[in-house]
Formats: sequence, structure tokens, C-alpha cells
Amino acid sequence: MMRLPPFTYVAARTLAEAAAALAEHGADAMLVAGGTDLYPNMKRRQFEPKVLVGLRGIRELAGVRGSAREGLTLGAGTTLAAVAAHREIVTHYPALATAAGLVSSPQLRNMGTLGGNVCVDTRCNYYNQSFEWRRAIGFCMKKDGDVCLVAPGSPRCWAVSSSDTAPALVSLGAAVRLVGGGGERTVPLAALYHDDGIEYLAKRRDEIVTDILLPPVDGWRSAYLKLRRRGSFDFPVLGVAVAARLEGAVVRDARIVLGAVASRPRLAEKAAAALVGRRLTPELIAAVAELAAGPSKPLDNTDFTHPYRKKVTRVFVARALRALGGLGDAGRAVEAIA
Amino acid sequence: MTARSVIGRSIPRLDGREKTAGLTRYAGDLRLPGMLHARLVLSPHAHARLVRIDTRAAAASPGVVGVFTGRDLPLARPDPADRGRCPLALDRVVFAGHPVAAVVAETEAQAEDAAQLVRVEYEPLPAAVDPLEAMRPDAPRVRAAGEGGDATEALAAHGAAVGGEVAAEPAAPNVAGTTGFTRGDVERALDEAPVVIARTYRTSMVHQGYVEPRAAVASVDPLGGLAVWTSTQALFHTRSQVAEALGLPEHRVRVTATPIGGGFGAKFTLLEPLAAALALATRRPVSVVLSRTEEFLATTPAPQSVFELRLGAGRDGRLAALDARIVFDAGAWAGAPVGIAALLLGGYYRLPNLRIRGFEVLTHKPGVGAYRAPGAVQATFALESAMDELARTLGMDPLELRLLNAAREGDLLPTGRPWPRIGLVECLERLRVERARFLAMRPPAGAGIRRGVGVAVGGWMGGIEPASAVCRLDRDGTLTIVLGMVDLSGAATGMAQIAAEAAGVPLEDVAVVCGDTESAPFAGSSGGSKITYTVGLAVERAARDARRQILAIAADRLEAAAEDLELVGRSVRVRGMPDRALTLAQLAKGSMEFGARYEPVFGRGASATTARSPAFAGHLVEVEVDAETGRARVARHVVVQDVGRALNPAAIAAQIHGAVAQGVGWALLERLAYDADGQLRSATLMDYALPGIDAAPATLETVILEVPTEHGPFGAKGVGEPPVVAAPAAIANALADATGARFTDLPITSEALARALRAAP
Repeated sequence: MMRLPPFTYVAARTLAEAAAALAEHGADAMLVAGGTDLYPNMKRRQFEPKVLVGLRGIRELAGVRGSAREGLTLGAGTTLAAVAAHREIVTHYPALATAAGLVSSPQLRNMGTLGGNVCVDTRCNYYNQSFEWRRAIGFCMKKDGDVCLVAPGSPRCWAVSSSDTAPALVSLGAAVRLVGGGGERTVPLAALYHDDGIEYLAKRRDEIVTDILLPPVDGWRSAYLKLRRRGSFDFPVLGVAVAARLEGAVVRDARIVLGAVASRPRLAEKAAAALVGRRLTPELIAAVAELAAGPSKPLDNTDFTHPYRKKVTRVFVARALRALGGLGDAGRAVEAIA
Repeated sequence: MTARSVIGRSIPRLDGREKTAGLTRYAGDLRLPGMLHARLVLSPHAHARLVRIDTRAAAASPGVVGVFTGRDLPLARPDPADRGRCPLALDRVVFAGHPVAAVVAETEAQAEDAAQLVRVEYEPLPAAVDPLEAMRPDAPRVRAAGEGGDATEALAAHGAAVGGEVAAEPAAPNVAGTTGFTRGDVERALDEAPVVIARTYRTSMVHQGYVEPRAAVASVDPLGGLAVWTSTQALFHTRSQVAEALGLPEHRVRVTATPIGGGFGAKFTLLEPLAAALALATRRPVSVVLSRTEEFLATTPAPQSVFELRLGAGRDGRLAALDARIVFDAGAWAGAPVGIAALLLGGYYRLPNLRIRGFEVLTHKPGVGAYRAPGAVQATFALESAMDELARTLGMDPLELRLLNAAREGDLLPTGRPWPRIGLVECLERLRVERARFLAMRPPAGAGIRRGVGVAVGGWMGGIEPASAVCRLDRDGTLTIVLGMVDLSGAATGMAQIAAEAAGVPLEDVAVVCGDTESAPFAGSSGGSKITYTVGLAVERAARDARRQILAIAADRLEAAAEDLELVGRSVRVRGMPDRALTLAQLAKGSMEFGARYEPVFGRGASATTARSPAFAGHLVEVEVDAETGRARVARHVVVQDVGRALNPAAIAAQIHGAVAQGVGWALLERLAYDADGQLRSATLMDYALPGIDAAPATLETVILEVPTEHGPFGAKGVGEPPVVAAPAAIANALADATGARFTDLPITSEALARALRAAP
């Protein structure tokens, strides 16, 4: 592997300092928190920033505030390990605790942050390779090339959203606070993403993700299931997050979100709508799982074949729903997968 | 044997504390004054002509001392057909990852930066990637006509060179070697057999996965002599290779084996001639350490293989015939273990008729090397899968089918030579006992989980090579054993046990020194499960020799006959007269001080056994398969291994644990995936699925059997290789039991399992 190229590191102490540095250096600058994904990508020249604006010294970015009753505010700099272990999150927002706890390995969860995972780069078999490898095949449009090597006629990049926490957070109805350009705004997390492998973040270059806002738990239950080859280390090649509010056995509201099947977390809205007002029966679960697999249109650019990932989408949606409904073997099945 | 024998006791590894405390210094940690660092420039093409290499920008880069191509190295007779003699490509690159230049700089970072500035112009050529396609008449050739090509030492050292007939099949392109065995009339026997299992089995190219990447440091002394420190299993072999590559007499090359962070057969000689040439060229010490991606791209992985089998049997289960065609993908240099695969394939069971044809095929991929039981893992996956299917087809118990046909002492190998005493039947019989216990404790079937139980057995012929050892009594009365072996997976601990036992001294009074090629007595490479078996004998003899000398000195000083003396604790005394005694320290000093009368105690021992002691291991596995996703895990695993004599049961258990983990990797996860152009798509640990601890069996039991050999020290056989041989086959058979489908390709992925489950009733 090539080594890190020279760069300037701006050790910001406040959000204002960080925002100013971003504004000053424009396209040459990138943000870094844990650096677990960014630095390897720099070594492979997928990222070539001249300036890194370090967020680790900004105290206001770390920590979890609030309560499940009133909603939680999670600083973007909170480590994934802290999110996974946070009692309120484990108890009331289990999809998020599970997703954070399944990212990579313990060492990387100790370094990696929630904000970093929410913004993590999209991935593709033709992109996540060494510089020499990419050069040997003539590069792809995501970096240094002109064509998509997955779908050569395609005008767009099909690299895959590879965040575990993003689908979980979207299913929980999370919002994100962005600071920069002299102001701040709060948008639903789902609005942070574009379905494009290159421009996958709908965030201005000078904006910083500062907080993730979880709504009051208000009876919502949630679950997250992850597909990958090994039980650790690997990025998701499918993530299924399901959240639902039940009254008895009747579903009052539901969200189903698929990760790693598109360039953004993909909402399975028809499937979720089919749950509302219905009792969570095995028949309904089977039908909804089938509906949910509709928007799952993986391409052949990650580990595992795309028909398999689509098949497992159905399986995982059904398992997540069984888990939420307290039906059958779901707990056991989740353990077998995760 | 003394009352408190150390043979058979579980002894913690002598190097355990330093390893676990992180104190071990590996070759990559070595820092010599003035040392330079080399980085390699690798070919991005699987096959290409080297048009030109422009090194000017790299040479002008900060800190760069030299940029070297294959033409610039001070090598004796670089031969592209011999990778050891030609570490950088000359005119053609023959795999993606083939080194074409080396940049030497003051720091590793400067070398890395400058390596990016080397401009190489290639003329890409068509590549032969798949071994079967490489045998087609129009396939691109890896080796031009008339070029040889060979890297067989590692395999020979593993006992994998077995001879055999030349296979009778028209010569195909890229075939670097053939082997074959015939007995009886296979076609007729298969025609007449009521049951024939016909399948093609495939295994993938895999990497040995050692944690420590390859590393070598070379230094030149003022008189031109070379010193090399390297992570190798093969001390004297490496000296010969370096001396030959550079055209130096062997005594001008000193090789020191640094502590090794895993080798598994791979680490023979690779970087050392290059490091030595760069040191000679720059007249400064040079360190070459590979990155993990370079490990995947440019080293010596285990070969991919194809086995086309037809196995015929009578209704009673007696085997009638085996017909096999074996193709091993050697990569760009010959040396694939097709011989051992053919031998074992036709050896485990009594086969009145057999025909085995084996081919070693060159492709535009890295030349393969040894990986723990080379050839045996692949052959056993094929044969034991076929045996399992045969048992199912016949409605027989798979263990009873194996017992009915298992080779015993005196039965013939495919070579026509008889098996010596082996423990195959004992392993199978013990598996039967373990299985009864295993099944009695079977957990209830959970919803959505399919369970299956599988068995398989496999063996290893056991390597042999002459070895010598010396044993010195030091002035404080302790013993030092000096050896030319590389301490791999606790071998030195076993040597200390053997020496303590043979000399009759406490274990803690024995030190084992693995010396360099300048000072150590010869021993063969640490591979092939032969170190304890061969060096152990030499150590036993050297320690007995030392004991004789000690007793002779004591007899003179105590004025007693040597037969009347006994060595108790740290003293020699006259039997029955505890007051007439001398400590070992007193005896030592009497032979190692000014004016002393006695010759220093210096025991010598050697061995050159030509008798192999093959060893078998049986596996019993229970798998759990997620009925919907096909995700599999090994829930319970029992290994029954014949070790001859268990010198250190804890060390054997550790070998078995590691072997099972590697077996899980073979069976479920690992594959070096090349695309149609010969590009490696899994060149990082992110993409290459090395198993983690979560993939290891939830419970793993080891059962040690002792079917002694008359040849090894205290009856011991080699234990390193046997436990991995049948692990993938047993897992595959358990998956077949769980799903009702047969899996013929390794690794068996979740996708393959999910497909099988969908097809199954």
C-alpha cells in the first residue's frame, strides 16, 4: 500500500474553527474524526485532500444527551463503541445499538464515530482496491476514471452505501443537525443522502454533521440485521433495519430501511405501509418481506452475488418483523446471522 | 526413563512468554547501523512484455540510494524459469504482482514514495488463468519453449515428492509435470461395479495466512561475506539458494532464522536472494518487508486443484476401483504437490484397481508453495467426499464403510510399496466411540436451523531428512543443545523435553539454541512434520552421548564403575551411597578450567532415517446451517489423531486447534479470487476472508491416540500436518448431511448452501 501523502492537519477546537477551515480550503479539505475509513482511503488515493480538519478536539461533538422519553441527541463524535454500549440506546433504540456494535471490529469501533459512519464513503468491488489495481483496470468514474466498471453504459456510479448505522437511524426517524456556512439546519437523516455513488451526501461541502437526533421512543421497537461473509470486520453487503410501533399485535406505524442495496439507505415504503393497521401474523410478515425485497436491487459489486443478497433481504425483513412482534425463533436467528 | 519423566507432560512453550508479552523481535524489527529499506514495484499485468523501465524520477527522489531492475542486480546467472535465481522479472512478467524493480532508500517511506515514480512500460499479452483452459492447445504459454522452471524444494522437504509413473495422456500446453499410478483394470472394474460415484471436485487457491509478513535483512561485511536474517522455515536451504543466486561459496553466506510469526509451509526462500543482491549492490544493509497486499499478490500461495473421480464399489461396500484425473494449478513456476495428492488419493483404502493421472499446469498466477499438508488437503476433500457419498448411496454407516476398506500395515500404496504400521483403523475405531457420545449429546433441532454430522479421515506420509545435534555441558551444570533447525510451533520445547529425558537432567536445566548456518549442525527445513521426528532423534542421541561422557568423568573422579553411577537431580552419585556424589556443575568445571584433566562434555547425535512414519487423524463435525440464508458454522468438532507418542500433549492440542481453524477457512471462507485477466480481486484482509475466532467451532475436543513407531524419538510421529488434512472434508460431509446436497467446490459459501437448501425437499 502507498503511504499517506503529505497534508495539513487543522486541529479544530470549536465548531466555528472547523467550519472556518472548511470554508477556507473548499474542495481541498475533508473532515476527519476517527479516521478509520478516511486514512486507508487516502493511502489508496481514493481521497486526496490537501487539508484535513480534525474534529477530535471539539468537545461539544462527543456524548449523548437527553432521554428516550424526550428524545436523544447524539454528538457526531460519539464513538461507535459508546453508542453500542449506551444503556438508553440499547434498551430503547436497539436497531442503532446493534448496528453500531456490528461495525468492523472492536478496535475500529473504539476509534470510529457515529458521524463518520453516517457519512462513510460508498463502496464497490472496483473502487475499494489499491491504487495499482485500479490503475491496472483503467480506473472507474468514482475516482480517476470515466466509466462505471459495474455497469459500463451507466451515466452514474453504483457504489453502495455501506453504513450500518444509517439504515438503523433512518428507520428510527432520526434527524441530523448540520452546522456551517454561518448557520445551522436540521433535516431528516433520510434527506442527507442521494442515490448516487459519488455524490451520495446531500450536504454542502462546508457543513459539518454535529448531532444525530433521535425522536422520543414513544412505543417504537426496532431491530437491525446485517449480512456479511464473516462475523466481524466486514462491511455490510445488506443491512435491514425495521422499526415499528405496535398496539398489542396491531401495527400502528412502521419503517423498513435497507442498507447496502443502493447508493443510499433505501426505504421500503410500500412494505411498511402494508403493515399499518394490521395484525403482525406470519402471513402478513411473509407478504411484507416480499414487498420489501422489491426496492432491494443490488448490483454485482460487493461480496456475495446480488440474487443472494436480494433473497436474504426477504429473510431478514421477516426475521426483523418476527423479532418486533415477539414471534418464534427471531432471537435465535438474529444471533446466527450477527 | 526416570520416575519423573518429562515425556508425555504438557509443557508450556519455551517461547510462550516472550511471544504473548510482545517481546519477540522479528526480522522486520531488525535495525542495523546504516540499514536501507527496499520497496518493490509489482507488475499490474498477469502477462506482459517489459518494454522499458524508466527509473530516473525514482532515483532522483529524496533519500533514494538505488533503483534496481532485474538487469541491474549482481546475480550469478539469472534464470526466469527459477524464481529464486531471478527475483525481479527480466523480459516478461508472468503474474499480476511479479516484481519488476526494487527501490532502495534511507527510509521505508522514501522507498515507498519513490517506488510510485518508477515508470514501467508494458506490452500486455494474453494470460492463461484457469488451469484447465491453460491446457487447451490455443492457450497462452507461461514458459517459452525450452525454458525449464521449478520450485520443488519446499515440497520435497514436505515429503511430497513421491515419484510415480508419467501419466499417459497427450502432452498439453503449460503442463510442467505429470504423475500417475495404475493397478489392475480400472475400466472393467468400474463397468462391473454396481455402484459408482462420479464427481469433479475443486478447491481454491488459498494463502497460508501467517500473521508475520515475509521479511529479510541482508548485510555485507568488509570482505564481501553476506549475512542474512530472515523469517524462514528453511535455514540451510536458504543459504544454498542465496549462494547459488549470487554465485558465492556457501561459507560466504551466513543465514540466521529470526523468530517466525507463522509459516505453514510457505516460508522457504523468496526475498533472501533479492535482499542479498541489494545489499551487495549498495554495500549497505538492506531490509525487505512485504505489505499484506504484497503477501497476497506476490508470494507462494497454495494451489487450486481439480479432481475428477470415479469410485466404484460392490453392494457390500468393498471398493472395486478408483479412477482419478488430477489437475493442480502451479502458477507461474512448477512445484505443485500433485505427487502427494496422487499417492494419498490411492493410498488410504484398499483398491484392487486404480488409475490416477496427475498434471501440474502452469498459469499466469504466482507460483505456488507448500501449505500445511500440501496436496493432502485437496486430495482428501475429494476422496472423503466421494466415500461419504458412497456410504449414503449404499445405505452404509460412513465409518463402517471406511473401516471395511481402510489400509492396514502391509497393504500397498499406489507406488507398490507397503504401508508401515499406521493408525488409520485405530482413528476410525475411536471415531466410532466418539460419535456415539457425540450423538447422545446432540442438541435438539432449533427452528430454522439444519444440523448435520460428518466424518472424514486423512493422513500424511511424514517427512524425512538427515539431521544432527550437539549437546554441551556448561560450567554451571546445565545443558545447551545447539541445533540447525528453525523453531516452529514449539519444536524447540519438544527438543528440550527429549534432551532432558535422554540426559536425565531437569527440564529447566536444558537450553535449546537454534543457531545460524555458520555455527549450527545441519538440520533439514522445518516443514513436512519431520522436525521432532528427525532432529528429535539426533537430540536424543546427542543427549545420551553427553550423559555417557558425564558418567565417564564421574566414574574416574568417584573411583567407581560407570554402571554403578546414577544421575539424580543435578548430581551423579554412586548407587546406594548418596554421600559419594558430585554435582554436574563440579563435573563441568573439572572439564572446563585452566589445567583441568577432562575433555569438555560435548555430546553429538545424528539421524538419517529413511523410514517414514505416516500419521492419520479423523474428524467428527457437527454443523449448523441457517435454513434460510445458508449461513453455516461448525458447532462441534472432535479430532482424533495418532501421534505415535505424545511428547507434549498441550502442544499437540494447540496444533490441532490451529489446524481446525485453517480447515474452517478452507471449507467455508478462503479463496484467492482471480478474474479472467488474472487480476487478484482479494488482495487485502478485507477481501480475503481469513477466519476469525467467531468462525472457530463452538466446542473443539482433541483425542490423542498413540500407535507408536519404532523410528521416531520415544515413538513419536510428526504431528503438524495430519490434523488439517481431513478437516475440510469432514465439514463438507457434515454440510451434506445437514442439507441433503453434495458440495464439490471449496469454499462452500452461504450462497451455495442457500441454493442447495432451496433445491432440497
